[in-house]
Amino acid sequence: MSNERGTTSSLGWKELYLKEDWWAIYLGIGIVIVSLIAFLNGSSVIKALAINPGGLKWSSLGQLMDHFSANIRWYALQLFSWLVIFGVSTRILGIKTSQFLPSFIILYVLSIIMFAIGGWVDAPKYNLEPPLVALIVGLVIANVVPLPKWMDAGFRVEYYIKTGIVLLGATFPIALVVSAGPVALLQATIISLTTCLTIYFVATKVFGLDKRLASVIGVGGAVCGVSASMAIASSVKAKKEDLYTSVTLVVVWALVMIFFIPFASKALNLSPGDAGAWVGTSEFADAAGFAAASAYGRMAGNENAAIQGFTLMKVIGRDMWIGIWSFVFALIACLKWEKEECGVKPSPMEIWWRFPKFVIGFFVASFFMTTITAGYSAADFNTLVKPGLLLPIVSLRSWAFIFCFLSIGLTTRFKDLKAAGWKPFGAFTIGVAINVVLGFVLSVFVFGSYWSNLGK
Amino acid sequence: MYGRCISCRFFANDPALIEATFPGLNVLSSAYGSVRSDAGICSRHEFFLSSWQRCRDFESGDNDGKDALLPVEKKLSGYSIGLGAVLLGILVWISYTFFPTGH
Repeated sequence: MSNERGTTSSLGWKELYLKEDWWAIYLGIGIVIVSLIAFLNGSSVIKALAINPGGLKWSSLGQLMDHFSANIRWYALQLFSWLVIFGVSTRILGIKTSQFLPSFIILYVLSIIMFAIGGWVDAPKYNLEPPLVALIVGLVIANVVPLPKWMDAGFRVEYYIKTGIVLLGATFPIALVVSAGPVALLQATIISLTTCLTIYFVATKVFGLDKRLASVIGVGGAVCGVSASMAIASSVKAKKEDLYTSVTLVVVWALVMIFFIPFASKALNLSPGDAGAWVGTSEFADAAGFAAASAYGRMAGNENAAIQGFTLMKVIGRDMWIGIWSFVFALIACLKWEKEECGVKPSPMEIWWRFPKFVIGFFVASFFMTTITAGYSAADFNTLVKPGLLLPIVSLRSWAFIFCFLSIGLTTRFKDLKAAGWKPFGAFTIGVAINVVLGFVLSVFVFGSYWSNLGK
Repeated sequence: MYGRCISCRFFANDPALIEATFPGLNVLSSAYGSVRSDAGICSRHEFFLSSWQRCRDFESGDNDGKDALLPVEKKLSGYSIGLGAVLLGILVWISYTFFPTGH
């Protein structure tokens, strides 16, 4: 994929097959189209292929085993399908197939176990929500069993979550996206600016940290975690260790928030929509946020509302603007911080280059499916479209998400994380505290009446 | 005007290399995503930076492979030509078999 010194030339059109965002779009939209063709032809093959044991409500191991023995062929075919579509695409991305395949098979087996745990009739009683269980199991395995590094080839957190988000678009009414846009954008602007400026000023004025490090951790905390840190670090020409510091801070706090926000929401008896918006406002990464929103949604009995609130706030409200943040910081670095050194001004095209393209897939899937299903009456929608078309897509989306949640845990090796230093930790933590409190106030009190209506 | 980092011998932006350089980066992000664009690592200054940037310490990478086709591009080209040839053959066969009067 790259030359001897590890450099890939300017991407241009190559981005269409060298970036996982585009592959997430191809896979997500491809699955939607194939599902639609099968549905229109009266075929139930996708429905059978989208099988998972999560909804079994089994009470004895015998029931669970009966399910697997009756459906073993579909599970085998499903595994084969995932292996082909993820295996081929990751190969083109440059990931070794010999490493991806064994790693993914292990991930698939663990995912079935996670679904099976979630399908246990008493699972809700013990808060055994698959996202949280998957995360904990992954963390334990990664930090107790010395998993070889090459296995990360199959634990592609971002690739799975992006594919899941495109599939989520297919079940997300476009009208909701349009109507929610202004509220999500307003709330996202308030929280992003407040968090970023807080971390930046505390880091530079209180702790005397370098402004590049401050901007990297500031935008990381305010927009979309490690991805934002990476974008800003490269825009302001940050030192390698600045990015490394931000990786540690974001990963640690994101993991804390995956557990804190759902259980705090439960203690406060928040509506799933409010809690989803809070997660979307105060969690740092899409993958971590989906785990938290999905977990609380299941605890509260309305996963859809929590996921809708999260998606509107995080994916649409915050993620889309990373290119603009990146461009603005590149301008500041070039025009203010290094007037003498700066050889070239950043191009406004930076906004497009950095744009998280999978969001386009989310919008396309949402628009496409809303248009297709608009012609059905409410009765036909509930009796035909929902069980025959939408639920199989929801199940495949759940697979993508569970791959992601497990992968978060399986790739988190605490001993590999760099010690961040107490000053960056202090600045980031103050930002986190303000973000969480402000996120709660905005999601529950200021815009609460709006978010709590989601999913009704 | 100095050369761009993308052409500098100190610059590397292979996604696998970036993920190996920053353990933990792939936990909640990815070097294979659009957000990174083609940013990479400068081994001369230990920076993480965009490929369009320039600096006075620029040293040409001698375009080693910069403009050549990537292995995956060669494969894609090969597969496309092969698939095209096979489909052309099928088309000719269909034409002669099912529409013989046209010849």
